Amino acid sequence: MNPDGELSLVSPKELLARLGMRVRNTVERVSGVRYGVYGLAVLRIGYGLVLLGLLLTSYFDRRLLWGPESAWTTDLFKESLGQDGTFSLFAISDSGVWFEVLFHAFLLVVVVFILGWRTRWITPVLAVLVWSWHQRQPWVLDGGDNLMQLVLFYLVFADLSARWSLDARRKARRAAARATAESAEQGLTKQSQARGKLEAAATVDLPISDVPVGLPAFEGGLRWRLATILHNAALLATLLQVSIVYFNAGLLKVRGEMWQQGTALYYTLRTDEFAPFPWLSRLIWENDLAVNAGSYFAVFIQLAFPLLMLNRITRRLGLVAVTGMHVGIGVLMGLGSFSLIMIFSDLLFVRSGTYRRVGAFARAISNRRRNRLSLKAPTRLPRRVTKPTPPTAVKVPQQRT
Amino acid sequence: MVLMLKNPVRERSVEEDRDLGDSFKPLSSLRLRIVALGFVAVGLVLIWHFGMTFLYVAPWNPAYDKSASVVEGYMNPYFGQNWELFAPDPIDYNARVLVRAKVKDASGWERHTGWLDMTGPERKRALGSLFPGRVSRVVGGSRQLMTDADVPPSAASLPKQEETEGPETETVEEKPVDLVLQDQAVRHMRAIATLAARAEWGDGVTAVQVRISDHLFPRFEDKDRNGKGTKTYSDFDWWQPVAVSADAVRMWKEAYR
Repeated sequence: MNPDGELSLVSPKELLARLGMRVRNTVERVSGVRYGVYGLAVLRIGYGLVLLGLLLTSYFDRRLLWGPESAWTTDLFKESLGQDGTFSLFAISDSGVWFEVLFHAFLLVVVVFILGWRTRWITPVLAVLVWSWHQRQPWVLDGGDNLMQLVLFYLVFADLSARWSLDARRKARRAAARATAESAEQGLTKQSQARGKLEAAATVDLPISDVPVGLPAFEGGLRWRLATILHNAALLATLLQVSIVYFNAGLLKVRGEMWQQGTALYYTLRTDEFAPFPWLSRLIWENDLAVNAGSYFAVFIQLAFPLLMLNRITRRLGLVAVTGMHVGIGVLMGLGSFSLIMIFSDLLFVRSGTYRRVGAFARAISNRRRNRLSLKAPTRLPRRVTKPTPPTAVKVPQQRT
Repeated sequence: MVLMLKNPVRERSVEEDRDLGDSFKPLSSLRLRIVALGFVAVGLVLIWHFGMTFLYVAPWNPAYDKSASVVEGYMNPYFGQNWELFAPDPIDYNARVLVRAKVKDASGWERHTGWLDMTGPERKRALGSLFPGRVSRVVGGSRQLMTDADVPPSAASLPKQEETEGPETETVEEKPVDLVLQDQAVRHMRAIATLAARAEWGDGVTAVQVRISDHLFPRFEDKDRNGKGTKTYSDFDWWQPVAVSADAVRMWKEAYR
């Protein structure tokens, strides 16, 4: 088919050339655009907050859980490290001082990770710290901890601080300064003018979230390209990992009689181990319909998750459904950290365009409020505050993920 | 247009690709080859990794069976994972872990204490909270490990087997007993029992015994008949307390007060 939609015979040579072009474009794109940067920013902040919560809610019990006073004794800990053929920073010394230093360094790294400062170096450090921490007391963990650990390993290769981070702010400032210096030096060529405008706009006028994604013209070097491939691969790996979690959790459930009968929720909710609000759980497990519907819903949504993610509409439905499920698990079963980790992982399936729209909406609302509060507010308030128009001189790549 | 392209085919396709803005600088031929090589290499790594992951987490299947050593060798320990979240069947009983002790007083007189519920304080900590802190999982986690490791209860406490008529049922050992894991499970629970006993009865504790009691609550179809379910328990051997510091005992007391 030629572009006009007519059928025509294409010579094999031409066909090959077109195929080559397709491949070329794919390579250009996956090495030229960093996908999912908003979702990754949300994940970075979300995981960081969950870790901070886990460390702080156990802060006064830290030594009893992970320190020299742990019931998973130093001997057991080291023995099990040897069996698994792995390491833990907590094994470097048995002293309480080392433990305290490491624990507080861990807290600090988590905070820095949330803020997105030097994230390229902080992420591997955090991944190693989380691994070390999990090894110290492996019997208080759950699936959420497991998933976060795996994802942190993958995301060592991703750019987690492209948005909503100190790194992004620093980069934008530096770019703006460079552009100003350049244009002052060389006079304003059309291109540098446009580029300066874009970068200055990114820093000064526009909130960081509006810096266009990718910026391939500015950062198109070979190293940057290869890093971009790793970034996109790490993102894909995380999405695949989350899909595997759901699909397998579902697959393993359909073999169980209680899930087949749709009564599993009754047993789950009746255990006192997972009942922070027993009266609320009771309300549900006493209702046959709720038990049945809930059990089948859980199996269905878990099995179907990967397929639901493939289509724009079902993806939205699927994400709303699993988020609902996790809120239910979190509240009814008291698995707060597990649920939050799953939700933040799922949010990676939301495209950057959606995040940008949400961001613009939030800004419009806050602008409107600011205008109302400001002393210099115009006498007549604008009916609709629109998002500042991005500079049009330079076309920016459209984000797809 | 920044693009300066000789090849018309190429020009058209890049333009069609609306993902790439005007400022996009395409790769030179050599760089393209290097980047493409990287792309393929990373792709192959992903395919390998998630192939292995799938075999590792899927229910037993012949493909896993054939390559078990490769899969396990690749996945463990760093990619270890388990998604049996309440599968194949959810937990259908309430488990409690209790401890009692032999305590020697100053005069050298040894007495047996009554049973102390170690699970209760954990539950109390978790009640009404979505983020109760991991100290609410210590006893429960250790109980789970004892169950997973199939630690045999003390012979004295085993309920008497009813004499069954007819052909003897063959007991099939499904999974091999992991003696190392059993040993670790016992040592972990011993440390917990020691801490709880010392926190309750002081320094005179000379031996501890743990009981795991399971309350299997009524089946779904019986839930409206106000049934009480069935309770079973198993007692483990008397264990020597492990050496724990006074600090640890104090922390335990504070955590589960």
